[in-house]
Amino acid sequence: MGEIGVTTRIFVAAIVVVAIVAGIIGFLASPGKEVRVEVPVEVQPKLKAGFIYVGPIGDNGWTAAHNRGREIVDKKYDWLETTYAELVPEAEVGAYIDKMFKEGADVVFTTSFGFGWETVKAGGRWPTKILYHCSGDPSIHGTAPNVGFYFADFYQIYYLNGLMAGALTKTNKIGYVAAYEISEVCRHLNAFYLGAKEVNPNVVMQVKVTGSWVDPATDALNAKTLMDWGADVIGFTADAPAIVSAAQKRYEETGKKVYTFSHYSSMKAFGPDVVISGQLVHWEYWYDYLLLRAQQHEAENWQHWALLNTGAVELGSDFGEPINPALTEAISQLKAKKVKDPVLGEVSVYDLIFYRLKQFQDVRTVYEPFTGPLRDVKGNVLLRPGEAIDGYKLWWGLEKTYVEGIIPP
Amino acid sequence: MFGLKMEKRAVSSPWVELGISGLSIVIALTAGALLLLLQGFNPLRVYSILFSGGFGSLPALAETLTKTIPLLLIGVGLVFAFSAKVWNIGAPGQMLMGAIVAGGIGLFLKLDIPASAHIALMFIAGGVAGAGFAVICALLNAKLRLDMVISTLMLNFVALKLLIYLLDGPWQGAAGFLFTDPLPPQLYLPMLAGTSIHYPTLIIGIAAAISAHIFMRRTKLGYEIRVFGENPKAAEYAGIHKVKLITLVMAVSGGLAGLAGVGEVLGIHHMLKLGVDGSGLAYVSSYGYTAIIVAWLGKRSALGSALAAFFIAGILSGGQDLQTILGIPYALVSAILGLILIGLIGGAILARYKLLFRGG
Amino acid sequence: MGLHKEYSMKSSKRVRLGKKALGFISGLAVAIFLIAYLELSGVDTGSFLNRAIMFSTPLLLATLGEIYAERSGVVNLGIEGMMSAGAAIGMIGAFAAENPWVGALAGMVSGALLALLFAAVVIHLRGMQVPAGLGLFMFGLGFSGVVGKAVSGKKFLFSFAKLPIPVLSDIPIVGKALFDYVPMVYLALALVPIMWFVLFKTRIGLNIRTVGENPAAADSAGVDVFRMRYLCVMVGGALAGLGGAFFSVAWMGYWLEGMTAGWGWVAIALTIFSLWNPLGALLGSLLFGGVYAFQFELQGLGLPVHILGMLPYLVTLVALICLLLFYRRLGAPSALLEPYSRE
Repeated sequence: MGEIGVTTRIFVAAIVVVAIVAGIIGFLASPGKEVRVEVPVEVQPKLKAGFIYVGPIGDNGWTAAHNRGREIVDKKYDWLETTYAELVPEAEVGAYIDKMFKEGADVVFTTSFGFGWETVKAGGRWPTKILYHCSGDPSIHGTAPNVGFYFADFYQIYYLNGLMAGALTKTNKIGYVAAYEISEVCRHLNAFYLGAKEVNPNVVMQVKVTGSWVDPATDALNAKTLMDWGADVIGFTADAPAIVSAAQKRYEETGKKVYTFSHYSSMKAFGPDVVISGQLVHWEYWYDYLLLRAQQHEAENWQHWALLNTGAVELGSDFGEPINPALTEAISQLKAKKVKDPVLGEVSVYDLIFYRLKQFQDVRTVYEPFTGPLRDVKGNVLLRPGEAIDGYKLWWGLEKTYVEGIIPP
Repeated sequence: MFGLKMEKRAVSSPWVELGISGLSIVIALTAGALLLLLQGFNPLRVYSILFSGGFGSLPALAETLTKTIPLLLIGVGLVFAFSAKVWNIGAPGQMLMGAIVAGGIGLFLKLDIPASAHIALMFIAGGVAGAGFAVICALLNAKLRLDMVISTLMLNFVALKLLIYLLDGPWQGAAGFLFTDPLPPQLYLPMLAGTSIHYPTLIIGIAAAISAHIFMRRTKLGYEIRVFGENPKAAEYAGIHKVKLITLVMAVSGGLAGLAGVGEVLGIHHMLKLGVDGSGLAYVSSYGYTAIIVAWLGKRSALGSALAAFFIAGILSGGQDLQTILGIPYALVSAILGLILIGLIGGAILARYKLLFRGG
Repeated sequence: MGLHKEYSMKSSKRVRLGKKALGFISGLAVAIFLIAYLELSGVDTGSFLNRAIMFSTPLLLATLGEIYAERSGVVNLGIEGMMSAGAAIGMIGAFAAENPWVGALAGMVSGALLALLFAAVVIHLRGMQVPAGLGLFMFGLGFSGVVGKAVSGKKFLFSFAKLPIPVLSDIPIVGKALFDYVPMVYLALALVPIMWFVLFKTRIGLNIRTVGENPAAADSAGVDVFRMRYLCVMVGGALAGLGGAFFSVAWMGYWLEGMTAGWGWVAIALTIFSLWNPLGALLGSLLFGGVYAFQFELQGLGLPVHILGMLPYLVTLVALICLLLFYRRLGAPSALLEPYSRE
């Protein structure tokens, strides 16, 4: 017993020594203090911005879009320097924020819904710095003078995609692959379905839940399940182009078209024959705006929303093309299908889509897809005839809500 | 093999063991350096930023200590299990169970008791939840000889799905996203000024390490655990009750992992969310897995694990700087940790055997 | 005395046959129930099986490899690391040569090399297998994350094309289930009988099994224990790497950090479930893949989605428990986890 005790003690002591030595080495090796240079008044004040990503920048989805926004503003302004960290776990957001501020950042953007509280807490720790949280969380809006919120939502675009889906489906079956059943996802899928139902009252939509933001294998499995069920248009909220790949593969193997959409970034590369349109984002819209103000030491500590009436979001399979011009067969289908609109009279779906797009781009809220009468799958009344959806419910209250006609998960 | 012969040492000297551990780490880091060179990075710069980011300033040390807390708790528990050669790979799941129970109590159990009692209750309940989750595997092993590795692994996934179910379902907060409402502020653990070191959990961890050390080295049961680990058959002949022992070590390691989960919820996140176990979006970095290295680096001694937890936490912390300063993906930290572990395992043999060079 | 022995042997044989028959019948009953449920809910069973089998292919490959490693007495818990590395390096190789087969090969080689490192530590240096495997997991995962950055998210344009076997793939249900895949799936399915045959009906297989059961006996019979173990561990690594490459090169067409999503761990569980028999690997991966795919069929019923998500893991556990209730002991190779030394 005594011998073992000695070993442990000596070992413990040695580890302490090693740790101390490592610490000393680390301390001595720390990057030296920065030397401050006097900045002449005419030169634009420099700004360093840090970006904290939840996913990998190669995801062709959410994080790739944020990174693209960052790169655009970085290139645009030579007084701006940016840095980023990807795949940041929830538990480390605070630490990363602190490190970025210590390394000279003036503004930090955190890009995941779950990072909100940490961002606000960090705002308290760094009262002279500015922070922005993407997604926003109603309970923390305005709680800190130096923490603001921004988001750009797609639900109007999903509605437009839905118009296409309803017209393009030959089986009257469309599918949706959802990551989770949270409010944001349900808002998107319901908008998608409402669009489809408007031009095709017989259309049925089935929803499959993957259970993860990044799980391409399961996304592909779900896409296949829906396609085997008969869906020939698939919408989705997932952070990988797996569904687009699956649809493209199905087309290559069987010649049957299953249309799908780009999400956050152009996914045409993954589905050149099947991506008809999509939801695209220009995060640089917000980064530009917020960084210019940050340069003037202005923090806007409220929620910044962007819909189609700003330049932050765009309908399209790729930037600059609302409908993929290469898919001529689909385009002629959209032009051929006619519907009776209460305002426009008889109109082709193609024209309806662009009419609605113009309505959405109007700075006044001219058209709201979520307008009653609307019931959910359980038969409860969601909206009375003519009633437009309440803002709070639209943003935060739609979890596990499915409009009548959807086959819910 | 030409030239190299292995001869068993008569007595393994502690200095030799120590030197070999150190040498193993150095070799591992050298191998890592080679990989870094291949990728076009400067290994010296990388390692210096890694160590300074972990230990090189007071804020860095604070962050390191924050990470040490869960690694310490789980690591000490795993020392128990691994000493008995019970391969508890289920610490991630046990940690989540503790977090879930604590979150549930905090959010839904309104009690008219002082906050400290409420918090204590959450710790106890979380520890029991983690222990219970682990004991399921112990019983399956005892009654059915179900391999511990497979049962603990599967239950990790089950625990994660349970968490997701609660967050995307009944416990979802008003924000409509994958986290609960925040806990009432009186249930937040106090932190050392200006840092996120939730010291009550740290104190629990240190107490656990000390008690574990005393238990393993000075009590009969601790001795039996080690004997069982060395030679299960001989231990059984000597009358050591196998089922009781396995259940005990699983309960302890599961319970400590559960406590770590509670600590993260009460001390860091103040709510229940995905990532309470330290994991990120795609990268499996749950403290429950990293703690395995901690238990090994600590040579399966509780106090050694405490220091190992600090060391590993420093590497994790420093790894963040690699991203923000050098743009190196965080995955590198995992690679380095893996190399260190492999190096240590490989080097362990040199403590038992002497390497002799024979000419010709 | 002789008659008595014969009688008791016959009866125990009858008991064994009885158990096997019971297992077979219950398995058949479950399968019939599932197919009935699917057809009645309007799902094409053939397509369902096609999705499920495609999904289980990486599991099958990794499990087959690990069976060989464990049969020779070595547990390699680092499968997830080797699969990740195989996915990343496979993708890099595929891009470099613009050929998916090269990618598959690259994945195999990377898996085998990682396994070699592990084998050296565990066989020659007598390191403890469980923590060494965990180290391999962390290293492989991290390594893939670092080297994979170069190809992260890039679309690979020369993926495998599906090769449905003419005529056979038109058979209802079975046709789609067995004959409508990309080449790598056929390869994986073909490996099952091949590896079974080698393991149980050839000299080399006998040597492998002996090394795993009683290495001292194998050694005295002239078998090079070290060489056998190295070989088997590297086979395990190569197949795990191939499974990983399947994810990126054959299936998704791109690489993303973390895409193997923990499947390597499932393969470890399935190795035990397979009773260390390649046929069992097929059964186990089908079971897991099938239940995994099936959970999404059940999504329309109003059951909580994520509780359904627990199904594959729980079913694997329950199936294993049932197996244990029947078989009393799993029949793990006796020398599993013990390093061999000629003392």
